[in-house]
Parts: sequence; structure tokens; C-alpha cells
Amino acid sequence: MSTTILVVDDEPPIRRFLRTSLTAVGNRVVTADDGAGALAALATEKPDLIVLDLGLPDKSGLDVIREVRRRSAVPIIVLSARSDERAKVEALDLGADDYVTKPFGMPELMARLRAALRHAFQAKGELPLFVSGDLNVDLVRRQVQRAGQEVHLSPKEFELLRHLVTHAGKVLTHRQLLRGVWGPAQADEVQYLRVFVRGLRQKLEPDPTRPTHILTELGVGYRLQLPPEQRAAEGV
Amino acid sequence: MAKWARRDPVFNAPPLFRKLDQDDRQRLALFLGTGPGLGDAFRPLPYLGSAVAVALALGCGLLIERYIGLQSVLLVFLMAILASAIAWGLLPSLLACILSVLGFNFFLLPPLYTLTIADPENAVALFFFFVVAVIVSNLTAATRTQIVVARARARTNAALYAFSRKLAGIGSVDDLLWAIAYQVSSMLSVATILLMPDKDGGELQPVCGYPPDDRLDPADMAAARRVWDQNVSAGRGGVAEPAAKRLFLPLRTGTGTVGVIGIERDRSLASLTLDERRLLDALADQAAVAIERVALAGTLAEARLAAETERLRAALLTSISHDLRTPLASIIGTVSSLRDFSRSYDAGQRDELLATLQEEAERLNRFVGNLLDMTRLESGAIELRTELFDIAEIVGAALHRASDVLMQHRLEVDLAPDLPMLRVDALLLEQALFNLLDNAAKYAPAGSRIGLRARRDGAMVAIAVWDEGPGIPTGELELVFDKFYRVQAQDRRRAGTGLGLAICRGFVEAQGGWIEAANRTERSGAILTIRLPLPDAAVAVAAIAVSG
Repeated sequence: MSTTILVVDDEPPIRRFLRTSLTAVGNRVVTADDGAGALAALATEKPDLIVLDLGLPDKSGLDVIREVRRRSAVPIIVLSARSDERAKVEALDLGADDYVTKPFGMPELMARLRAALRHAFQAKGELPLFVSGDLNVDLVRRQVQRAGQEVHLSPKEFELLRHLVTHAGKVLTHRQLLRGVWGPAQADEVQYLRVFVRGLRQKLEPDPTRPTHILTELGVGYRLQLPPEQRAAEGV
Repeated sequence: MAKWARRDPVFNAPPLFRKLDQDDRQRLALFLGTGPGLGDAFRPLPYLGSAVAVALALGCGLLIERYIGLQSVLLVFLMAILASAIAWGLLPSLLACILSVLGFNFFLLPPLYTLTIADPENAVALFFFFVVAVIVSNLTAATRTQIVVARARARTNAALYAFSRKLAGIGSVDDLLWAIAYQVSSMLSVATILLMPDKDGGELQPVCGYPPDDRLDPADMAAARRVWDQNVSAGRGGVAEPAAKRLFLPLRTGTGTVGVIGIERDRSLASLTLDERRLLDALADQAAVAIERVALAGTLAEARLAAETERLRAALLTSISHDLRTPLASIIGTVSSLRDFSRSYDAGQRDELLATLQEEAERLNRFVGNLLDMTRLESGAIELRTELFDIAEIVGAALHRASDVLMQHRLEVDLAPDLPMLRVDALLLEQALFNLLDNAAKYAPAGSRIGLRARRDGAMVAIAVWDEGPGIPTGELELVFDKFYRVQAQDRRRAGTGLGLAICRGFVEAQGGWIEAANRTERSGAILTIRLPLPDAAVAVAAIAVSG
């Protein structure tokens, strides 16, 4: 069964290029050029994923996310402009799954689509094992190995890593991570998060100054990079 | 309410001139040949002094007469008269003449203690003594007047000269007006107000006053307008607008009228004497010239700015037409050849063309990004969002984004392990670092090393990007941060916008840091260093890190 993707963008060239590329790799693509059309298509086409431009002519993309989330848990990938980190964070906190910054390349978009789709399909059951390069995380046995060596993590560090692993490939905002690991009361204490990410990188990254696993999305949050072989196998 | 705030630095400075005291006014009056003003009070002290001098002479005369004789006694009186003329001028010395004659007659000439003279020879001698004494008084007083006048002239000239020098050192119209109002007020004991036409309509407005006050009642305003329109003085005591409280004068230069000065004196003081009025005219002339000078300088600066803007606009056009068109030309050319001659290319050639396509599109994207950043900087649209940040994290993000650009170079990253957290706008700093890396990659040859080094340096953190390229010509180290600097360096034109380092500087300075360029000393290559101040809270956050 092919995946149905709803592309919402008011620019015809963007719609055309996305339709062509996404169809070429085996998806069914429907398009809408404004927010109202997107909500109508959500009802009629039952898409498996929405690619949504934040700048729409009739209503704000953020409002569209709000309305979609009222009706459905369908994954949403947001298309946004550079230097608009605030809108990105807001979209993610409203329930969008990920974002791509215009202009973007297809490999980047495909990676985001696959991470979001996989996460949606396995939303309940967690991936017990995460292997990427020399990093090996076993969530069930709470074991972390780097290059075959056991790495000792504090309980909070492990909890942070577990969040990243369960959403591997997806961006997580500061707020989402803080809520998940420290609880809602600490949702604004970004300093904690920075300090713990720094500690985690010291323990997990071969070169903490050039992280390859835990990537910083400046002004937005963090993303655990999927293993390169997995990205290759998924054709992205 | 006063429109201008009191500006203390000007007034706390020791006044350039002390107020003209009564003495100065008299000297000035003599200098200007106007005689004592009607308002000048009678001062008894000089006359008393003359009387004392004559009394002393009389005492000496009595002694001399007793032991030596009467012949030389008159000369002693002559000395007293001379002394009075030198010390106090004509009138006191004339009094001394009269007192001398009377005293000599009364105490020394027989019959004693009467004003009659027995010996006619003595009467004749006394008469001629009186004539000589009056002539000597006159001559001496005249000489004294000349000296006083010369001194007064020197003082006034020095004061006016100092005033003009002070005005010459002032660069802004605002400061100038303050200095003028203050000096006129303090030299003439008046309240001063200055009026100038406003920039748009040319309507006359009060612009400065000392003491600060901008209220002008209708009669005063009418008087000021009349002065401005007709270029003559008007106001209090004048023929025109006698109802006005102030006296208004035009501030004239050779080329026209630049403003109006109004002065008001407290009712308890007399109105301006003629000499004060002349001093006021002299001050007004100097003020007018100074105002005109500053206004002309402003016009010149505006013209220079316009020329500079024009130059930058031309550079921008050149840059845009080159930097936008070059990648577009490659893109359009590549795409059209792929469409039209697709079949004649093999897979390898097609890949190569497609890679070109992507590179050129990304170059275009970077250029548009730079243009946007520059526009944001110049329009002041940068909204700082600073937070405490781990520098290593920002460096990592910049290196990640720059990995494609740095593909041809060997990268060496060296971050000190004890780097404190900094209060920065992460996105701006990341862009600045990216631009430095991008710049190094452009100028350093492929295969050479590019390094990034971060160290704590006193109360700052220094992040340096070095390369092994040709370096920067000495003398142009500061210029590299100028917009379109690259455009001017025509011999070494690289693919770039000429904006990258200017943006870098703008972003770093917006966060309270600075950036500098240097050449490496041990070999060729440039080092560009960003310095950012440590926040006060850096220590506290480091403590959390340890406890976590």
C-alpha cells in the first residue's frame, strides 16, 4: 500500500517539484494551495503525512496545525523560512513532527518524512535497540556502549538519551525534552538541558566538538542522527 | 516647560569670562569714549583718598617747614596731587589741587590759620602753583586714561578671541547654541534666548536659552519675527515693538541672517549701556559666524555621506549583478543543456552537470542569505535573543553547516576544555562563525589546513579561525570588514559576496563583542578572531554542570 502525502503550499513550482519527486519514489501525492483546502483534503483524502508550508495566503500555518491536531494525529512536516526559529519552535510545540528550512534538498526532506512516518507507525512499541556507528543503546537493559565499551550514564542522562532514541531522526524542541525528562515544571530551564547535552556528548561522541550523534538545531532543539547505513537503506 | 534639558558639563566648567564689574564698565566706557554712563553712581573713595594724600603732604610740609624752610614744601603737595591723578584720575586730583592750595595757605603761609596771604610774593607763588598743579593733574590723568583704555581693549579683545576660539572648537549646532547663550548671559548679566528657523518650514523657533526657558510671549515673538524678516534689531526700548520684554538682534553673517538673539535684563538693573550694546554686537557677530560654520560643516558631511552611499550603491549593484548572475548563468546553462542534449551525455557527465547545478544553487542561496543578513543589520531589524550558551555547541553547529564548504580542506578544531558558557545570540554567532569558515575556505588553497581555536582570554572568550592562505595585505587588515571590500580588490577576485565579514562584524558587535583580523607570524595565512565578553553568571552555570 502506497503512502498518501498531502502537500500544502501556495507556490505552484514547489507543489510541482514535490509532487514529481515524491510520486517518483512511490507515494501518492495530493496537493492543496491554502489552509482551507488542506483541511478539506484531510477529511477526504485521509493522508498518511502532511507537508505544510507555514506561509499560506488564507490563514497561518500554525492555525492549520492546531486544527489538524484537533482531528488527527497524522504526522506534519513544516516548511519554513530561514531565520524564523520562533515559528519553527511554535509549530513543533503545537504538534508538528519536524521541519525543513527552505530551500531544502530532497534527501533532507525524505529523511524527515521517513523518521516521522516510522515514528507514527511504531508510536506505541519502542525500538528496544539503537545502533549507530560505534554507539549502541539498549533501552530495555538500560545499557549504553561506545566502541564496545560500557558507558556509565547518570539516571537523568539516560532518560534524556532514551527520549532522543525513541524519537531518533526527529527534532525535539527544548521544551519537549525538558517536559519529558524533568517534568512540566522545568519546561523553561534550557540551561539544564544544555549542560546535560554537553555531558552526554562528552560520553558518547567520538569528537564532542563535532557531534555526529546528537545534533544541535540552533534555536530549536536537538536531533539524534539516524545511523548512516539506515539512512542509506531507506533510500534517502 | 523647557524644551531643552540643562546640560551641566558646559556650565560646570569654569566660566571663560567673569562678569563685567562696575570697574570694567567704566574702563570700557573710557575706552569707547562714551564717558561715564548716567546710571553710574558717585563713588566717594577716590576723593577721600585724595584728601588723605593731601593731609599726609601737609604733615610732611609742616615738618619740612620747621627744620628746613618753606621753599620746597609746595613740591611735597605736588607729589600728593600727582599720586591722586595716577591712582584715581582727574576729578580726585583736581580736588587734591584745591585742598593743597587751601591747606598750604591755612597752615603754612603767614598769617597762620587764616585764608589771607600777607606777602604778595607768596600769593603769586601759590597762584602759579595752582595753575601748574591743574595742568599736571590733567596730563597725568590723561596718561592714566590711555593706560586704562589700552588694558580694557586688551581684555575685551582677549575675551572675544577666547570666545571665538571656544566656538571654533564646537562641532554641533546644539552645543554651539548652548555655549553662545551661556557666554552672552554671563558676560552681560542678561537672560539670553536664541531663535532659529526650523528645518522644514523656516518658521522661527526658540532653540536655546540661558537660563533654560523657551516661553516667549506674543509681543516678544512678534519682535523676534520682525528682526528675522527685516534684519534690524527690535524690542524693548527700541522704536519697533516697544511692548516686548526683550531686545532682539539679528545674527548676521556676510551671506545672510542665521538666527535671532534675544536678551532680557532684570528690572533692577539698568538697561544696556552703549558699550555693552557694542559688546553684544561683537558677540552676536561671532556667534553668527560660528553657527554658519557648523551648519556648512553639516551640509558638507551630508554631501559626503550621500557620496559614500552612492559609492556603496554602485558597489552593491556590481556585486549583485555579478554574484546573482554568475550562478544563475551556470544554472540556466546546465539545465538547458541537460534538457536538450541529455542523450549525448553519459552517466558520469550527467552527474557532473547535476553537481554543478546544486553547487551553484547553493552559492546563490548563500548570497541571498548574506543580502538578507546585511539588510537586517542595516535596517536595525536584528532582534537579539541572547541566552547562556555552550560555545562548543555553537561551534559544532557552524562546523556541521560548513562541512560541505570545508570539503577541500583539512580541519583542526581546538576548543579549550574549560570554556565558560557565554550569553550570546546563538543563531547570530553561528552565522558569524560560518562566515569566517566560509571566508577561510575561499582564500586558502585546497588541501591546506583551516583551524578553529577557542580560548578563555581574561574576561573574554576568543574564538579564532586561521588558515594557510596568502593572508591579508598589511594596511588592509581593518578594511576586510568593510562592505564590498572584495569588490575593491580587483586583482584577486574570489567567488563571494564581499559581505560575509561585514555581516560577521555586525553580528559580533551586536552581542557586545568585537572581531579583528591579523596575519600569522610564523607562516602565511590569516587569523580572524572573535572576542566575546564573559557573562557574570558563567560561574553559576558551570557549578550546575558539576553537580548534575
